[in-house]
Amino acid sequence: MENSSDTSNQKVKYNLSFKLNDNLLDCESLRERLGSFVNFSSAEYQYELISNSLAFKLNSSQDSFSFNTLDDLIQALPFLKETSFKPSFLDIDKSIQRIERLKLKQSTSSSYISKLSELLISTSSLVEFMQSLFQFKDLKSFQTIHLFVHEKGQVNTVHYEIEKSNSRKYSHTISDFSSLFKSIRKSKNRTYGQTSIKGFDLDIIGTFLAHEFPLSNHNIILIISRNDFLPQTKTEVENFSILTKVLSSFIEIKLHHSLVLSKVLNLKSAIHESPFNIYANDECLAEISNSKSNKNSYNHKLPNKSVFQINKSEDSMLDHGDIFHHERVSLLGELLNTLRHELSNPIFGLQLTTQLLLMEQHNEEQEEFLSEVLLSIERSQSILENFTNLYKETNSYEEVDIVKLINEVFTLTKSESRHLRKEILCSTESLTFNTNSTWFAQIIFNLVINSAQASKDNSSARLKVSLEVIDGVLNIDFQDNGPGIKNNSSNEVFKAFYTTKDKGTGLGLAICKSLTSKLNGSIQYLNNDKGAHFLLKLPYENPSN
Amino acid sequence: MKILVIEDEILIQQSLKKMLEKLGAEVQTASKGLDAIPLIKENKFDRIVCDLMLQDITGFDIIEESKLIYSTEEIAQKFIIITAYSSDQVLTKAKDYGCIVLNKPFANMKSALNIMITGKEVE
Repeated sequence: MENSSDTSNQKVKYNLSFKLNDNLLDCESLRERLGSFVNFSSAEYQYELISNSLAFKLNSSQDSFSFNTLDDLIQALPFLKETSFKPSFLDIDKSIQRIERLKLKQSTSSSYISKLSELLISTSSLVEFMQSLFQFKDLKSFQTIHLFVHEKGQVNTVHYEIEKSNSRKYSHTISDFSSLFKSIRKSKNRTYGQTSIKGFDLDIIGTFLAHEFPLSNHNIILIISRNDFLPQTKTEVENFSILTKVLSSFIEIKLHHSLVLSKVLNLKSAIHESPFNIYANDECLAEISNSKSNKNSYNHKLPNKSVFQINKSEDSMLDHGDIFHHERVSLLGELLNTLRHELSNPIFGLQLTTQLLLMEQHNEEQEEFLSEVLLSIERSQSILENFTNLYKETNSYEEVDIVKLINEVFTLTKSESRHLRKEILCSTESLTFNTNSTWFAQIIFNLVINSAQASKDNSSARLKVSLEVIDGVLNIDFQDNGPGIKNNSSNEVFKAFYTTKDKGTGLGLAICKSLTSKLNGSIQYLNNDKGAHFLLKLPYENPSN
Repeated sequence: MKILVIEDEILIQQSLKKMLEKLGAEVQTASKGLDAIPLIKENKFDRIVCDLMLQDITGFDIIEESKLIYSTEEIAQKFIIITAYSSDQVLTKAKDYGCIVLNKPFANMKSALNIMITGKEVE
């Protein structure tokens, strides 16, 4: 029931770009140090992961130089332009040797090996790699692959639900993972039905094949399912068993790479999204060895300590908001989905029972109570329904009744904003427009929460939201009577990590700004002494026109 | 008219029972799928209203078991699936069996009960 498509993985694929700072080009010492094998004016580098060492590669030439440890690479990261990961043939050869030692049925396993080696190179992520398995003749009729990955030492496990054209990612606790791992290991015939795994709601329809395998850094569970109830044939079970043995080595390589990639990415985002300018001192590039010639032939040390500043662009602030917003929405979405899952059935039970009781004879007072109960139940149902719609992770635009949506957000913020008197002023009776309701709701949510928190001790706190369409632009005006934001220019308040609250993250308004621009709109903070005043402008197209 | 209601949420189960009884049906209930199967095998029900997500097995498992005694046509006509989480997969699956699927909560109580009694979706 989770809707988050694998956008995080796409990020991994496209967001890896590093610019070489202009200041660095002028840095004499760096030039001196790298100049022997890097042409600075081109300023474009790539690095490749070759086995366990990392190599820098220059776009324009064949020259490459490698880092022997990940730490070395990380030190140099700020200076990289583009990154790509490709497994080396050496890694693949090693796996193949390892597989051959297993002495599997030759004809089947060798076809798997050659196909998988190709796929390992041609796919860029683990999910993409797993998805390509559906091309296999033996797997053609299967619909879903579940891959559970536990990186040893981590508190959570990752569960990829992979279908031919999409994938979802979940997280489970270790205890769930180990009980699944154990029950699969204990099973003899390797085929399963929904009921054969206890205590773990797998949400797999029908029978499935499963295999578990321990790797050096990870424990893995692989499940494939056709989403039907027909039992698997003997050949299918046999082939699956061979496939998993071959596959385990390849998954290990892929996992190793994504592990490195994610560390690199984390660092990249840390650099780009840090509120402060980052300085790297000269030690960061202290040891670079040339992979082409002898490993230790280039050992460069800077003669004097110098400090390089990495420029941060304005955009980095928006990226930051995105990541936090993304995390928040997926977390909320997950929570709400679980809630809906667990609550909708018992609430429906209450509804039926109440309806049943209403059919019977009662005195007026009892009847009134029962009707009230029924109304409350129906309200709960519509709240559940609305919130799950509100937080579905989509990029789609849909027709939204603005007043209704703002009222839903008010309900959502109720516990935080109980003291705040909220009113919506709208010139027309109903106002609908096309928008991404999740993003729109998040913007409103953040603004309401801000007003509520700023006016906590004020018993006459008010928030007025006025809606007006002027020349194809929807103006949403937020005005509260709280303390406002003191002594600051209107631009400042939208910066990430800018906060006046004791426990604020300083991200709320940054997220608002980022989402508004995604909706092709703008948001302004207007200085005024009556309170905080925000003006949100969004392009307005009446769907009925 | 004999109806079997298989549903693990006790309030839903009992309320449906009472409501269907008011409409003149004779209703038996089961909370677990495995309890329902032997009842079905006695072949005495005109209609089987079956929740999809039960504690022990799924409604689809029950239908598969019922294939032993019922033809495909009988299954399509006897079984009515009620579910709170109707994904596309579930709907396709149910369509393969030819069964009517009712989403919980029911959009219209009267027509839902009517479908359970008649086995037909009427507009």
